[in-house]
Amino acid sequence: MSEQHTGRTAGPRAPRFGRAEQEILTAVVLLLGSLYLRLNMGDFVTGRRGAGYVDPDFWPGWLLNVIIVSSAIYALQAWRKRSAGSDPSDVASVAERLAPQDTDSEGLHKVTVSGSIPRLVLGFALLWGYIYSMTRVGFIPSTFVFSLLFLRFVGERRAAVLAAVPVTIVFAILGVFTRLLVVPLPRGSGFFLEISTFFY
Amino acid sequence: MEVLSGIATVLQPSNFLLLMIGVFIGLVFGTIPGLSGVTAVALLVPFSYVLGAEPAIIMMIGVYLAATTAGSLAGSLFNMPGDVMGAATARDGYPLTQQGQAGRALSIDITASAVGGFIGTVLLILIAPQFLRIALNFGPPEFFALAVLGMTSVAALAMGSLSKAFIAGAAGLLLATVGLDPVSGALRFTMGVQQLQGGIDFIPAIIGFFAVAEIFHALYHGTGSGGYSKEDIKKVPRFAIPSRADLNTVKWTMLRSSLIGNFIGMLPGAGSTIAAFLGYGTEVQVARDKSRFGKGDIRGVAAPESANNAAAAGSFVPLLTLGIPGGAVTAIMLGVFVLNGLRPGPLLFRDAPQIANSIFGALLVASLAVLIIGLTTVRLLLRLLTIPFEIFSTMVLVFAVIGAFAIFNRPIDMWIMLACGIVGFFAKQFDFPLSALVLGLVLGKIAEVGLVNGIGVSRGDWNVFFSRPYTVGTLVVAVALGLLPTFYAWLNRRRDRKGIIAELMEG
Repeated sequence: MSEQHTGRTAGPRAPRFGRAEQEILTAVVLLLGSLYLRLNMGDFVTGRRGAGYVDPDFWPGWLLNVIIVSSAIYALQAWRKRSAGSDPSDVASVAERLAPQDTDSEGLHKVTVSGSIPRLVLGFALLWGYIYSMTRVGFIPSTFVFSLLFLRFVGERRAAVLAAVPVTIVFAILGVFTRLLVVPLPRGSGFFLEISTFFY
Repeated sequence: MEVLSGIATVLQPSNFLLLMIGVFIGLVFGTIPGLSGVTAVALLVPFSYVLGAEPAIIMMIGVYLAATTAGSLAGSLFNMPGDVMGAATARDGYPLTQQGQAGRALSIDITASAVGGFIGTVLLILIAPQFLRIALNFGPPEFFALAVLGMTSVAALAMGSLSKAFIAGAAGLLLATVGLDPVSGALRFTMGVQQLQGGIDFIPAIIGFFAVAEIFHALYHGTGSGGYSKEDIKKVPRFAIPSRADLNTVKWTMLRSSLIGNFIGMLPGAGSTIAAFLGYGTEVQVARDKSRFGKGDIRGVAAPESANNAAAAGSFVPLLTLGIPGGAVTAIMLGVFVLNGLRPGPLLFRDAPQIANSIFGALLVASLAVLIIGLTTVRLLLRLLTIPFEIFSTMVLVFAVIGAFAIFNRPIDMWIMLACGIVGFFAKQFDFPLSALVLGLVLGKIAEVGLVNGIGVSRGDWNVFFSRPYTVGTLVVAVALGLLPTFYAWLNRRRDRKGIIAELMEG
């Protein structure tokens, strides 16, 4: 089968769910989300209509219209990009038009595909857990545990660093915020509340 | 004379010390890829409670100018810019380093930044009073028109897709509607969460969009620092002093780019990154000999650096005279003003003129400080690149969470920061301009109140937006800016067509 016939060039096969597909998915999610909000505006905006010259849902409704139209255009462009296998005919910015295109930009927009989505989710989950635990157990234990876990998560293995950095972070922030700035930090509740009063 | 009093305020020992600390923090955050000046300024907000508005702003100005300068150092040396605007400088800075002229690149990089900051501040001092006269005539319709101008400029000048810029801008404006409607008192998009009735404060959101999203983006793509050895850094000269010949070569470049950068900085929404690329692009367009650009032309280093620092100074024009921030950093500074009971705009010059003078003074002194400290500590700064990013990222994330909480002592702000961090990560991943999102969030209330009150004062007559001279003028500029990308696309298509015809004729 000829190359022209298939429309594909020889070389490594493109990933089944590549960048173009991700863009289409993002556009569709944005389009559906904004359509849902627009059609159910009454559930999200309370208050009387018709009392003033402009209703409280006028401005958000107009903004959602902009998002719906822009998302539809974005979806179309992403689809065309997937079909053509090249950049969509986006109108490039003024800055892009003025910037010279013939220079070697290797490394400036370094994009690798080595990033792992499950690890990314785990990273955000750690941050979520940190915020959640801070309201329950207070600043000191939550920060110590988070620093330790996050350092391990990003690949730190040296025992000295794992021991020193969390302690340094906890006491540095404690000193700066509670002594220097006199800004209260979360104390937690119950036993942790009592413990925290010894420190700040 | 008033500026001199501002300089005197900045040179008071405590303020000067804060400025120097700010410059140091800015140089550190600017140098390390994955961190930025916005992150540093956002994390410093809680300090304004103790310091007060004036000293806090002085320190933040030090951070802002220093980070803008330092963002390109690693770019020039290792093709690894600390921020996006550093990419413009790296186009010529990195080839110079490859040719064994790293000292030349760094010295012009730092000098051009300082000159840009200085010229930008002088222009700010001259232009701000003129803007002030106009600003006193502004009413709700004009503020709505200005918000439209800001959103249009960020969309038109943004790097990338227009549709994504519109989505990001509108999403930011929509986020600003969460909470109690400032005009009717209706609840909007609170999803039953009581703490959201007060709305989404933009400082925790900015911390999320920039600090959290940047860290995760750098970790995901492996673009954080830490990959450089001490031997790499030893190749960098200890002191970077520009030669007289180089200064002669770039003197008009610095002046030209500073003027362009300052103008771009004054547009609400157009920031230092756009200024850097426009400064570079314009220099390429006007240069007689273009052959060296991209291969190590010293003018290609000076142009973006002068432009982005002049833009940093220019961004204070809309903030100080109209109360409208030009970008993320000035948005945070607006927050600091408000937290301390001050309202930037025409009344600031009447009620607290010393603050405006201190800002002018701090910009001038910070430009000089960045020049001296930058030229003398360049190798020391680049040693930061040998420190593992893992440690920096952990510290910044903890500071981000505590910083978001400490502003209002509300746990909801930490959740807002996390949510914005996740949204920011995906926005970066798919090239949505975060600056449009942030500007939308910041300008949202100004735009809506301007729109609703404008219609209110005219008793429902929409013509109020098309009959007042300043409103019409601003909207015309906004429309012109919006059409600019289409105009450039048409120009390029025409040029391409001509090229094809010429090729066919030759064939």
